[in-house]
Amino acid sequence: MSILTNKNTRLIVQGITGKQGSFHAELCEKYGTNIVAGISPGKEGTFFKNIPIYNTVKRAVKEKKANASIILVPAPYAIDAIMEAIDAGLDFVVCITEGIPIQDTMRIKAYLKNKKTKLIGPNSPGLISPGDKAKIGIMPAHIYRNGNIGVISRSGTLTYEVVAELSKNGFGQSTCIGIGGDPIIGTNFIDCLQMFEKDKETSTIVMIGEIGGNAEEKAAEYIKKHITKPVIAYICGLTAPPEKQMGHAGAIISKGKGTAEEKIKKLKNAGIEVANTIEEISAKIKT
Amino acid sequence: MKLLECEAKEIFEKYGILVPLGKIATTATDAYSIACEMASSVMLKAQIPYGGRGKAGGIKEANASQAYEIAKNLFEKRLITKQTPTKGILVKKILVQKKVEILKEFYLSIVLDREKECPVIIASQFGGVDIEEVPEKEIFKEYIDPLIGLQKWQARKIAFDLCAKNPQMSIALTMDIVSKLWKIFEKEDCSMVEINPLILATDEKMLALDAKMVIDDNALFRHPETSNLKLNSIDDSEETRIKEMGINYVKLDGNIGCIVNGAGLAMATMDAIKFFDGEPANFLDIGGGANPEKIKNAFKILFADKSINVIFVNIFGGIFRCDFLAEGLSMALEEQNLNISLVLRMEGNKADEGSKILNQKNIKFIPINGLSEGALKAVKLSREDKK
Repeated sequence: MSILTNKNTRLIVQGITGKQGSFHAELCEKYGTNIVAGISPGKEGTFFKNIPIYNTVKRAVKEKKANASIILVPAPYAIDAIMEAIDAGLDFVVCITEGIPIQDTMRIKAYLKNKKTKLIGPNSPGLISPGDKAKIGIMPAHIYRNGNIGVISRSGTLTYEVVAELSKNGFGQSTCIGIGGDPIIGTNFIDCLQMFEKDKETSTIVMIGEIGGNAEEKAAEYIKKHITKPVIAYICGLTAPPEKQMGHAGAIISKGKGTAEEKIKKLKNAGIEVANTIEEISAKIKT
Repeated sequence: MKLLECEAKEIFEKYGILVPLGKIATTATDAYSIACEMASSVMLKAQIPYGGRGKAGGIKEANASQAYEIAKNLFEKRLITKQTPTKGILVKKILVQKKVEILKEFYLSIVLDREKECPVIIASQFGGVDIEEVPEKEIFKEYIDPLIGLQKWQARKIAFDLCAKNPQMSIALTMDIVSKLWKIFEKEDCSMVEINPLILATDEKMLALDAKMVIDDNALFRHPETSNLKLNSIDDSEETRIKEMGINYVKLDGNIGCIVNGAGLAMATMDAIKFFDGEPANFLDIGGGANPEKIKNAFKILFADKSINVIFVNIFGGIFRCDFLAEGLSMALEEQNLNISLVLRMEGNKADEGSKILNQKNIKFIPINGLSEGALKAVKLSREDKK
């Protein structure tokens, strides 16, 4: 097994005819992901490569039994695309789009309550389960190896760095999930920890956090109470100055809150191993 | 995007929130004639998109005869407040505002609560001071469901809270201001809007004496008229100029310049430098889809920083193309010679092509395989160059 995505995932690509959509749809399919349809309103009846295109998500669910979506539409149209996917009852929606207005994301989060759909992102690099050859995202596939480390991260390229290092040291991954760098996101650390705890294939969890907000602090408390598997954390942004946004919309130390020091302290107090460098993560994994 | 007080007040008026009579002066002579026109004491308020103006001497009371001198002083220097960049901001506009007789000052704002993931109205009967200094029990909060927006009972609740100890205040007027402020917040895509102080004047009207508005940059596509204000922005700081190029850059105090793709990796790179007892000179995230032109600009920013004595480029290309990095670097070097060491780590997408370009162009660099190895090398070099 793995979490969220596996061999049975039937993916649609919203925005498949766009520049980003077509580029990444092709890479995902090449990796082995089962893409059953693309969505591009007004283009039903045509194909992208050999993938059929539908006007609406509902149509793709009906015709192709789609159960998941990757959103690769530009920010102004993202809220609409996500809501359509939620309404169609998909199991999960991965939103890669960066730069969505925050009030839109708030509305989406409120809309998600009492719905069965899980939202990953926005501003997420996506997720990948190497053993199932399922990639729903924009990550460079060649660095991933099949194994039993579960990786959760708020960042993109930093995760690639961590994963490349894990793979180099012989630690493959069950699933790697990027939860997104925005201040408000769908699935959070705790949701992923919960899923990894239940997943038989995952033996160790690596959690990569950064400055801003208090998601890592909350995760620390949750891990202490509910997670039996070993967790290794790495937090970046020790050198980040206060009140400056560090690239990601969510990465800001605001009024003294959200510092890396505080997060590391809370994690350590909860008995969680915290790596000082990326190399140290592999060294802390007990085999 | 932070609006100027005068820009925010213009929007307030459009939505029907009263503001004191005021006009913009761009010269000291302007300020004098506006003050004469108003035939009363005026407040001269420097218009910069940063807070802390009052304490930094950016807001001054004057009568008509003093207005010229005071305005002249404000226009002549860069105003430095605790929130501005260290060099301060040149004052190009002064709001000359008629002085209002105040009965009582209040606080009213709407911000986004990151933890509760919804907007929150914050109100207090203690206005005119930093809200952080007001005791918790004197602050009223009302969380808004983003799907249905502000409800009438919520505006009423805030109004009764604010008016409880101030019987001369009208519940209806207060409710009206709360509702209008919500409309502004929602319709204009604000990430914060604040009236501090909201005042009850001697004629029992309620006015916004000050106005702060921050518009979500990501929502500017919905607000072309606000985006236009950005074009005339008076914020001439280096960081703002660089942001316009699509580069995420934050200046720090050290001597090791960094160029990295991705925000998380950029922070991890700075942390690695610090871990080996070096000092990063900056945070610079060039982003995933950077082209050679943008990369050239990033290098030029670092070349211009005289405190830098080593550059560490750390690229893990997913979407990012390493051949573009090589092209951008060689373009920057065509315009300027590099006399400091360049530690270069290039991995992933088109890394071999990148190396080939650098070799062809005879660009000298120290090739590195991993993040830590690179950080350690950069730290060592930064010390040698110091001697």
